[in-house]
Amino acid sequence: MLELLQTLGPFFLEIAKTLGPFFIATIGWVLVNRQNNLREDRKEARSIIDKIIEYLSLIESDAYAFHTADARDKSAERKVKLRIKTLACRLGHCSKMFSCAEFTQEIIRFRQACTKLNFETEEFNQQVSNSEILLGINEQADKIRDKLERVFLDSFPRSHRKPKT
Amino acid sequence: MQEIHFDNRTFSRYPAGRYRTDGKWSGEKFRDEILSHFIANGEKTTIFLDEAQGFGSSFLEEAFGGLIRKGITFATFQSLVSLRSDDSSLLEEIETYMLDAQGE
Repeated sequence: MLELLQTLGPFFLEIAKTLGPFFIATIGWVLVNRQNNLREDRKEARSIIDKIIEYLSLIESDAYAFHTADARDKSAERKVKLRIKTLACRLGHCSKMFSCAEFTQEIIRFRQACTKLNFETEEFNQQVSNSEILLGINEQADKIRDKLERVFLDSFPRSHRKPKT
Repeated sequence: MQEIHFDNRTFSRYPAGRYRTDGKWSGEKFRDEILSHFIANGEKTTIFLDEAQGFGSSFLEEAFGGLIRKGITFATFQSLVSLRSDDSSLLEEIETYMLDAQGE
């Protein structure tokens, strides 16, 4: 047995000398590739979240414009409702992408803020800038924005970000 | 099993408003002319919500919360009606209005 080891020892040493750098290069490549994939995932997620936030702000502006208008605007009502439906759908996709994200209550509260009072009613009242309705819309939109940012930060901690050069 | 679709044959793709005075396709009209009718007949009914081009909370509250205020219990509703939507927030919001109305 000892003889066998003495005979094979130099052989294995030679193999290790030959393949060692290859293994190190492979491990390095795997680590760098993993890091790059994480960065790409992060960029993709950021882009999706930015688009949702942009869309949310669009609805917020629409709802503001509707509630501060001189009179009830039925086409604006349709636009707000349809956009909230689309937002709910996009947040639903977001929930599937980030396992920790669940937006059901936030969507309900945002829809209520925009469409429960002074909406689709013949008793429409023009709202002033600090009205409860407008503040409520703003508050609920902010809560969705905050949650999206939190979900993003939880999913992609700082260590996954490319260091600034 | 009966089906209610928010399309132009059964009701409208554009449900809007709480009361009849607020719009042609209001929650009050949906409740009184469609929903109550099926429930009164004891017919098992499925409501498909996704064909509508969005709902306002005032419509949902009057249609479903109003049903409870009209004397239908939540248990009766659940035993006869099932709601279908890909948007879970709609289903939860409707349930909230019914339970709130039951608690009033």
